Amino acid sequence: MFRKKNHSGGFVFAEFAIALPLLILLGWGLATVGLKIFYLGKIQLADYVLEEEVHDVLSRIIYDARAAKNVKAVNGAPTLTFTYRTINEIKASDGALEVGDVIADKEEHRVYILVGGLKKKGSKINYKRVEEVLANPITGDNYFGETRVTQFEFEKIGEKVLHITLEMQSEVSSHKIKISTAVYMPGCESF
Amino acid sequence: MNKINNERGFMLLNVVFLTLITSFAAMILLNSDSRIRNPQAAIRLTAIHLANEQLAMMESLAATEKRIDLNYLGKPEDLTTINFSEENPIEFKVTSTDYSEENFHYIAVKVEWTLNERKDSVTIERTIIVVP
Repeated sequence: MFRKKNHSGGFVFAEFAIALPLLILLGWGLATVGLKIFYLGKIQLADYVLEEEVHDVLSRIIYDARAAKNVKAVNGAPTLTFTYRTINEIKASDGALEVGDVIADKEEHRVYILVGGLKKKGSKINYKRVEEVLANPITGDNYFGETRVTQFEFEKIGEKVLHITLEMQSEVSSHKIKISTAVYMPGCESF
Repeated sequence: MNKINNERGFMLLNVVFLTLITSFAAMILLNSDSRIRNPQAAIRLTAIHLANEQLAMMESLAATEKRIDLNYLGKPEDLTTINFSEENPIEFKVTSTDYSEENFHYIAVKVEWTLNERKDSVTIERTIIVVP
């Protein structure tokens, strides 16, 4: 009985001695893989937010530019201002709505302005309907990944053609995305 | 003898489980890794905006000079991107096609690129009216 017990105890110890390093190795492996997956997931979400914000800003600008009567672009402190026709102006013409006309009862502006400085942490593009009212950020403050604006430029590259370049960087992944596009503004009178 | 057999069986089972778990974990990791390294969606978005740039220039030319030019009219630097691929800049090729019916020009702008030896493209269409 005594001998048998001793023998069993030795076997359990030997098995334990082999199993423990294996278990530690397995645990370490799984923890590493888990952390890596978590990290990759975080990066993916941050990159998705970055891509979506750049796309959203450009889509808004294109939509607004298409209908603009006047455009004022300032590159120093990036600001882009669109002005639209009023109802009275449309009535004063032949009454027909032109492509991209915006119906407003008074002169209306839409302003895209960079707040916080280019390449600076927390820089955001803000959008306002009237210059006096408080600004609304349309980039940044996303739970899945903060972003900053590293380039926001406007240029006239053709008759009534506004060229826009927007580059943003994710604070989480440090990845950058730069997209350039252009929009033709058929009703634009001054640019 | 029976006892020894049982012990061997148990060890084998251990190895089988260990292999299964590690393979499963490696599979998940490899899958995530390939997804993060594929910037196809960002490149496509860049290409769509490039096609819109070409269309904007064509619209402008049609309005001012009453003609359609199928050559690339945008900024030359916009034909290259490094979005999510800093090590290998991607070159875009822009081709425009005109299907005319009198003053109505159905324009198709195709932007092509190669990423990780895979060719891809996007086509954006618009009707441009040229009033003589």
